[in-house]
Amino acid sequence: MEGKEGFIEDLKRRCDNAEGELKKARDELEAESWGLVKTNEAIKVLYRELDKKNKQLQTLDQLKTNFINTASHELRTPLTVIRESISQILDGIHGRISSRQREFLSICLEDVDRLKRIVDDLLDISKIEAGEFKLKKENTDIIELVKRVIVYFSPKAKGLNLELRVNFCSEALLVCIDRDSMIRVFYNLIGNALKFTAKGYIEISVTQSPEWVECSVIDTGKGIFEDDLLMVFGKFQQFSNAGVSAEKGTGLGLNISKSIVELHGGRIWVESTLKVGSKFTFTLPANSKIAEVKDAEENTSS
Amino acid sequence: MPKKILVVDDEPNILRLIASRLEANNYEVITALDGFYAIKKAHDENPDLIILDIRMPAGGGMSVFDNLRANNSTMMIPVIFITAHPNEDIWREVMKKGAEGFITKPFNADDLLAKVKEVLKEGIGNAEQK
Repeated sequence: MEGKEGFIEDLKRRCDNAEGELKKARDELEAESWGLVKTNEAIKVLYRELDKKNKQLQTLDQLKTNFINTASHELRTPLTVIRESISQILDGIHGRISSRQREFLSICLEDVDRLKRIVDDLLDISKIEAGEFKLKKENTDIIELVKRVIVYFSPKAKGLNLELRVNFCSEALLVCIDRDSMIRVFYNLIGNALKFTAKGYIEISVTQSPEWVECSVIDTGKGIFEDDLLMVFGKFQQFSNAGVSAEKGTGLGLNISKSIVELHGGRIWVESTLKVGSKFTFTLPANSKIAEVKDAEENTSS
Repeated sequence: MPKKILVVDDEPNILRLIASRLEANNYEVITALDGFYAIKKAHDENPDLIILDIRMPAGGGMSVFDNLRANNSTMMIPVIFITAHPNEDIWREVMKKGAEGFITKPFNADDLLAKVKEVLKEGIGNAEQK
């Protein structure tokens, strides 16, 4: 009998103990859960603040875009007036001018043109950032397009004693691209290559894999410092080692080129070795010519 | 005999510059600073071509165009629009209306002259598209 009672007593005690521990655990859990609720509330408050800040930032960003847009438009008219006035005097429409006057008016014109390019580039960048830069894609022979750009640069290359080489994978290659903006990319890359190359050649190559069309502009120029390589596609990046006679850039060309390539679904990168040269390469989806022909519709003709 | 061109723009400086550039290329130029005078001079002077700014206070280029095309004495005069705010919609609308040409500010002199020559050679062009 005694053994039985003792067993029950023991059981009871253990039960009480367990209950006590359970209660303690539950209290702890409750405290913890309450803490979690508090944390959760705090997170919610933070989240709301973050959301508010985010909206403010978006508004600010929009304001910035609108500002650049308006400013660029407002700048264009006076620029037109200045440019055309200078051109008319240089063209002799308003009488003879001395060679000294011609020299300085030419300086004016050169920098007005540069200002105009900056305004145009800024406008494009603000469009790109606002998502308003629309591509007018159509099936285009990219080889023919490159040849045209090369024809444009030929006299300049000749003047600088630089050879313009080509390396095309075929006679013609259809890709679905926005013609004008793709011309800009080539114009930019080849223009840059000419700017930074003192002697040797510039090679433009177009090759094709099943998935990609790969375009490269290779030069035998001064090359780019390793530290600068990561920044070349940034905004307002200009590098001091351009030739003396080089036309000043806007520092926005490569940034715009990158955006244009990416809007086409491609990628752009640069490899360079100091004193050996640089190679800019970008890809375009090869199958875009099938997949996105629809975008080319509704092209109004003049 | 030089061809007569009516240039319409609300910005006097632009107007003066287009006029002098055209005059230097042996065109006779008359000008108007707003839509009202544009229509009046188109009637009175019967120009061979009108260069018309789209954005103007008091009757923009579009309504001037509609007015010209609705009137027998001016409906056959070719029109080149100019605008500082080019976008697809405006371009499409202008073409749909049947204007003969379209140039954007900031224009360059060669583009302007090329367009003028092209339109004048064609004479009374796409008016029937209306």
